[in-house]
Amino acid sequence: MTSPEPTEALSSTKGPIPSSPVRVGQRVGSGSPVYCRLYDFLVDEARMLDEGRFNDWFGLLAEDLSYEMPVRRTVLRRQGLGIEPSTPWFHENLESIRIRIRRVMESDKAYSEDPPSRTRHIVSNVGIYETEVQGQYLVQSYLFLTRNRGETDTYEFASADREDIIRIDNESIKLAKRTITIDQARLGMQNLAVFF
Amino acid sequence: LGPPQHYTVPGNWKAPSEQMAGDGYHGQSLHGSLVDLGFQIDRELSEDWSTTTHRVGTPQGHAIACMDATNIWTMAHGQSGDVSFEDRLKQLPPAGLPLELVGEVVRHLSQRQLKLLTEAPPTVGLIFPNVGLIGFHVAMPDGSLSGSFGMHTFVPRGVGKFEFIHWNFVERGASEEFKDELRRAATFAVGASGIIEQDDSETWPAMTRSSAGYIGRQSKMRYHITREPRARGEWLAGGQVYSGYPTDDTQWSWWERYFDYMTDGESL
Repeated sequence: MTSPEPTEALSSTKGPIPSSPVRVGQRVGSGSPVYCRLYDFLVDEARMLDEGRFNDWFGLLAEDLSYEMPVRRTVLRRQGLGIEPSTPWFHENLESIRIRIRRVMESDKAYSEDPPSRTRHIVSNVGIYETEVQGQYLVQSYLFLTRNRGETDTYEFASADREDIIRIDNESIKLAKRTITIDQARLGMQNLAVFF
Repeated sequence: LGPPQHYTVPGNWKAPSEQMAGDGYHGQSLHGSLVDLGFQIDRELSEDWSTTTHRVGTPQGHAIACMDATNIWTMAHGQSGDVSFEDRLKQLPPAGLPLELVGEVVRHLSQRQLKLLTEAPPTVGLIFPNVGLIGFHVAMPDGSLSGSFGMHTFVPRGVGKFEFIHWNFVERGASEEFKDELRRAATFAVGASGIIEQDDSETWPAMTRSSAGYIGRQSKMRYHITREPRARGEWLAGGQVYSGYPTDDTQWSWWERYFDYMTDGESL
């Protein structure tokens, strides 16, 4: 009888998303100091995004950031999850995120978000695992995003599964990778001018 | 290059369709953030862009805007612009085409077609009634230029709502690296998350809401900048060509054809 091998991370992506395979190690139990610190990170960044503090949020991103959101397709059960990285909704690195933030913060003509939407990033179901790299954690969370714009009395919604790689190095804590698996094959938003 | 993006826009499908049939004005206002970011060399050039375009329309409502690139070659190589079509294509391959496949293009097209492709490359267009074409070079965050070539369709999904379907295209023989570069450029610039087209899909719902109101319903949309077709220089292809300062002619052709369909040729 051998002890169970660490399993591959629940594979939510396939195809050309740049990634190194992440081995799921021990689960980090809720209530442990590391869990609480990572949970607080998710809560803080959600608030930064909802309050439009994008430059603060940018400070949480690692130099080698990979920020991906593949499209979904409706497929038969036996064909898998219908996740298609070959067409992304987002295919970003630190530099392209920087330009997106500069556009919103420095130009008065970024009309897709000016006037800004009112959003809520509601984060739940946080599961955290150690990885093969010391201080680097696989963080899974559910996101429910509400968005209201202008004088409309309706909301745009998005629900998604997020799989992050977050690094803790003493005082520093950085998001190195985020893969967003959205639940809609046909997006119910007029654009993706908001971050997930 | 992968399956399309699908997203729902709470607006009327005719707003984007008509826009892609030749609108030359919105670029300077709606996409002004690109100038603020320094993505166009300077404001003067960005305002000049629309005046150095051939807008090609047809009575059937199809339209395409072709950049007048003649000056690029004469500026770079003297008045004669004496540089082969192949060299021109190698210096700036059409959006979606990798450098190593330029030879294939030269082999398959006639001299006349190559002259047209290098001196009046197509950029944005529309196949009547609702298929948009986009092909241009995108300024990337690192300062490089990367091609983006794609198609849209605007499918009505009930009153005041349409489905935006966006495909990216790339040459079949392109390398995986080139495909990913194009994927990155397209995602950055066009479609739901693109820093260009996310502003477009903000305005179409606003136009739809405005035109549905009491005041909006009584207002006339003016399409009165018209003139006879006139090409700058020799035009090597078909269609009705309007070179220079943008007019409303190609969009008006779109509306005229739409009107014919709606009224079965009868005037109201």
